[in-house]
Amino acid sequence: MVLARVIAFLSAHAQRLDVGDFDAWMAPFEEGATYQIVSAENLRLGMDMPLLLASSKNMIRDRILSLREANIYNIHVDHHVLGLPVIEEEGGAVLKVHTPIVVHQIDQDGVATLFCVGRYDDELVDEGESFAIRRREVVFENFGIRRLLATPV
Amino acid sequence: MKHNDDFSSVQYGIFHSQEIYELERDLIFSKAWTYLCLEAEIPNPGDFLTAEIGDIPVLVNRREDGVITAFENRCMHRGTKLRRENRGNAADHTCVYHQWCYSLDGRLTSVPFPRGVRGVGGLPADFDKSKVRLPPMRVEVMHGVVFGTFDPDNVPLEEYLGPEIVARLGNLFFKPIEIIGYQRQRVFGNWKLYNENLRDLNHGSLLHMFHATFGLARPNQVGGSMMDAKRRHNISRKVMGTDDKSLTVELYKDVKSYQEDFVLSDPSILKYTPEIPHEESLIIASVFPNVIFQQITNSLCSRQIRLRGVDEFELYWTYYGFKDDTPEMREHRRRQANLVGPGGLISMEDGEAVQLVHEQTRSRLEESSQIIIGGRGEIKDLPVGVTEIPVRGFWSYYFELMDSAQSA
Repeated sequence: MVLARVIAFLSAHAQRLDVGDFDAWMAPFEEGATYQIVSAENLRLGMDMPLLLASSKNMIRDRILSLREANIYNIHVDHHVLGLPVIEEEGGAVLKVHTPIVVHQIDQDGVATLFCVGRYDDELVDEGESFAIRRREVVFENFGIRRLLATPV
Repeated sequence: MKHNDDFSSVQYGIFHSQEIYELERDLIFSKAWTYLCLEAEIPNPGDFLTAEIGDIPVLVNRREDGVITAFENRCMHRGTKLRRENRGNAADHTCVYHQWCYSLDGRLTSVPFPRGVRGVGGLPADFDKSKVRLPPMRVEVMHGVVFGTFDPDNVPLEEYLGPEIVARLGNLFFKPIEIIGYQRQRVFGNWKLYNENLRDLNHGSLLHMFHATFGLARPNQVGGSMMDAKRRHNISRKVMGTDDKSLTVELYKDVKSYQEDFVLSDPSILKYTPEIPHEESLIIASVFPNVIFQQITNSLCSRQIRLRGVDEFELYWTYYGFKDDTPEMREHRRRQANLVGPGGLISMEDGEAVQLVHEQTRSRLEESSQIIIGGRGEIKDLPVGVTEIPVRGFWSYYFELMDSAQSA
């Protein structure tokens, strides 16, 4: 049943971020994929200025490379918890899926801070064995970003 | 708080004192010309938005006749937040608690049951509605940028900004704009640390590896600092492509953050289409005390500093493009969101740097920083980026406001 497969895919995928395996996290994105992080404030105002935008997999690669080699950001571990996904319409090759998310960041002293409450708005390509990500929009309902936005959500 | 004569040494306690924070509200944010918004955010009569000046809540709206007015967002009855929504359009502002109603000019127009019931209760007989108004700001608009001041005796805005800032605003807003979105960032440090960061040209080529490696900002580019006559405002400027490659490699030979071989797979975000009528590709124009105007190639915005106590502030980023942007240019500006803001490949480090200083100085309030890059003594502009002299400029004006009022 497709919902079970979607759940299995999304939860395994999110855990890759929590262990810092960015290459594995990047893998299911198509070469022409769009990955963007947006604020709910702009969405509601009908404005399309994102917080982060990758309009190709190469831009995702560049961001990961920059995080590894260049950027200075808060030392932390991410922790993603996904709610139950809602599939808009079953049966097609491309599924539109909406999944609520909560992300905490835990610092070196073991203090956890809420970082994101929001959702994934995804277009997932059903490849049978697994899924590819054609488009992911991460919506921050809590758009007052705490400190900075570095590791992918 | 102790500082020395040339402000190259300022006590860390200045970032952690609640008493000083309260004084700043009275001596700085209640007096200076402060940034409210961009005119393009409230284009129509009745349009309003709320903001904080320092941490003073204000309401800004466009009156029926098109004039922009601003006042404290607090009902004069018993102190309720008057306008609760962040933005919208309204013919007047009515307090939810007891329905006192104010015009778009901030004047009280009606109170329910003024004569009570058959003359019993209601307002006191000597209450004069016409005398009640929300504490107003004097508002002036410069090149589409809206400033306000609570000080009725303040100099005209043009004089406060000075010719350098006025000229730059004229360039950055040289044709009609369109707001393309907002970003908000919570930074856990004192607001003055961010003002230091902005006026510290030196860090741009060092903390922000992205700047250095991709030539958006290097110390040997044409540019430098440009302060106003009172040293309170500063323009950091750079012209892309004017650095000498071999000199760059030589300068950076002991610096970890410069990586010559770092290549982007998709370099489209670095593309620069000159559009602003001045030679610079990078402008960070800081206007004391609460706003920065940014041009980083084609990424244009204002950043307003909203205070949330001694230890916290919100950076409120307002991005704009020009009304005549092509779809390609608009998409390019969207992509350049990757460079700036809370998730910016360039700017994310500033949020971290401010917090790192704030945390580590809390336990040593008597110690002082050493603001020495660029030299000590005279507070002057240098034509290179290896300077933090404008940080001393900030402190010189800050202490002028704080010390003179306290001794007065």
